[in-house]
Amino acid sequence: MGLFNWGQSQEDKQEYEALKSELATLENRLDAFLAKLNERVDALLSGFIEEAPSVMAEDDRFGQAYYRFSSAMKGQAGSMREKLREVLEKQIEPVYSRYSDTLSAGSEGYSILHEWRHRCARKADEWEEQLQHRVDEATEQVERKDYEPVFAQMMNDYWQQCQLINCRQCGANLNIKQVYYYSAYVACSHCQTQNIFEPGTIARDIEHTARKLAEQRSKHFMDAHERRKREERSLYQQMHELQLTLSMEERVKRSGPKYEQLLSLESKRLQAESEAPELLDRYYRNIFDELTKLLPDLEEHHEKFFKSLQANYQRYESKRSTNL
Amino acid sequence: MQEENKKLSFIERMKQRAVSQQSYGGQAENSGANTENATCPNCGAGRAKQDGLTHCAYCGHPFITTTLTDGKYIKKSDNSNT
Repeated sequence: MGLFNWGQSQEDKQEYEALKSELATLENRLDAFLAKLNERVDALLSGFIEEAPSVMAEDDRFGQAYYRFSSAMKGQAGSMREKLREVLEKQIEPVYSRYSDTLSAGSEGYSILHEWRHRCARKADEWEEQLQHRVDEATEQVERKDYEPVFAQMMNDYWQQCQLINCRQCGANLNIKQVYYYSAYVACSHCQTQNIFEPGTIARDIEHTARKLAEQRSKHFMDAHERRKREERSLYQQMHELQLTLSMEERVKRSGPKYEQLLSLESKRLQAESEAPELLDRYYRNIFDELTKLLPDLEEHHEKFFKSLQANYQRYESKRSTNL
Repeated sequence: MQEENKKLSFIERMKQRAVSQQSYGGQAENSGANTENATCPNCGAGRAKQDGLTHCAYCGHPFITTTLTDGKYIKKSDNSNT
């Protein structure tokens, strides 16, 4: 058997059949393994969605037990991913490297082997992507919460607690009129004693909850931004496919019906590309406007925070070069 | 304990561990709004804002001998030594 006439003899044909059947068996085993993993993911995520509300109901205000529960779920998902990677590394890749050394490049066996390897890797990648998507979706479903009543309740509790705060020296009411996010000196208006006011755990959480509420109120901008980005990507892909069908004449002359269509797609794409960052900007601007409405005394701090965030995301803004 | 665990599904075991595991640093505590004050070690009176930051406004016992500068809550003008 020579290197350049592999596949001609009877022996080679038998080897070729053996290769095909070995690859098919391995691929079937991979499919069966992925199906088993999917069953396990179904059980894990449905159990997580079912049990999480009861964990949350008995949890402390910082949600530590839920955090451990969701970490355990993510850990289980991670170990499934590792098992799949191990199968690829120990059962798929060694077969590929064993045959790729003996088959001559360009032969049918070689291309079957390559396609088989790509197919297996793609199946694993798609499964992983799907797993990540499902884990994110389940987490979002479980953690979804309306922050409007939560925030209103927190503010109400805080003001009620403040009404009962008296001076340690003379017992007069301290008359607290602002939200303190951490311990502060409050002087008694009657005896001038410096009281150390400790606002309590609720007040320390107010800023954090206000941020979540502001994000909730601004979510429609983020959704619009993501939609616009997806549109831009899809238009770019359409343009790419159309470009591949252009004839040489159309390319050189830069005219013709397909070229016109390409230009119209490009103008839509450019519009989507310029609108996406504007929507992101409006999302963040709206978050901080809402935050200032909720906690007006922190306006200066919100502005500084917005500017630093804006500088950060604008730094990574980039535009495609289509060169039409 | 192991036999009990065998009867539970893996999700139930996960939940049991998440709920029963002790948090590092102990249980989270909830505290309401309250006040404290620093008192004079000599007479027990509370520290007053205007004239009692560096010495007791009631008995004159000195707390600190440093000259105060402007801070977020304590201002230079609160200096009761001058």
